[in-house]
Amino acid sequence: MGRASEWGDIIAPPTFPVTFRDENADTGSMLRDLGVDISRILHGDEKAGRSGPMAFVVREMAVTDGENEIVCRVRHITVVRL
Amino acid sequence: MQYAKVYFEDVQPGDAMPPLVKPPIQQIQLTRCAGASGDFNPIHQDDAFAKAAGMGGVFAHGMLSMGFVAQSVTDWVGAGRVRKVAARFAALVRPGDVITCRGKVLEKRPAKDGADPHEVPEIEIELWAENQKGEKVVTGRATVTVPSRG
Repeated sequence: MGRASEWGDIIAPPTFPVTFRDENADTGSMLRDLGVDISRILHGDEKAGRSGPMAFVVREMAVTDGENEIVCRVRHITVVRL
Repeated sequence: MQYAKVYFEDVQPGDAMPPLVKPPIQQIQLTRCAGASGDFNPIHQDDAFAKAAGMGGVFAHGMLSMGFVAQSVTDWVGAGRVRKVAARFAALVRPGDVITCRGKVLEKRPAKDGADPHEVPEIEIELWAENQKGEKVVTGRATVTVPSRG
């Protein structure tokens, strides 16, 4: 089915890049380095938190293919309840 | 899995996207989601941990809801058509919740005349997902490209 499609091969679904995790630089390890308790992590981009003060960790990632062409950009905002 | 075809000419601003209703969230689904994504935060697996963290119990990964929302788009316009998808997680999704993904066409942008083969007609879609109580759990947007009949 993938080969017969107009893309000539199987393709990844839109949210597949969530699996491209750099274990040395993922949100969890980054936040642990910052001294953040992982039980207090939420995802979102709400600026006025309902449950008190919040910090925002914004990560951006460019995903490239074998020819070094950018195939997608991922922007991820993590909300940390302080 | 559906690979519906939608043509640019057939879509108008204000059109509703066919809703996608997902089966009730199961705890095992959250475990599978952890394995698939690599997000093993125990807050999605361990009820006691989630309660101790003040969350009242386990809740689904935001990316599970975003996956549902993205699926609602690809079910409609077909796989391989999404240029951009964004989601904001507005409320927690818990085991047992029934999530319905909905959308509405905001805007159509015809391809510009020019030599750039990457210039294709685009459609902007407002997206949201709600639980069985009608509460919005995700709000979002997608940009998709669909073929022109011409």
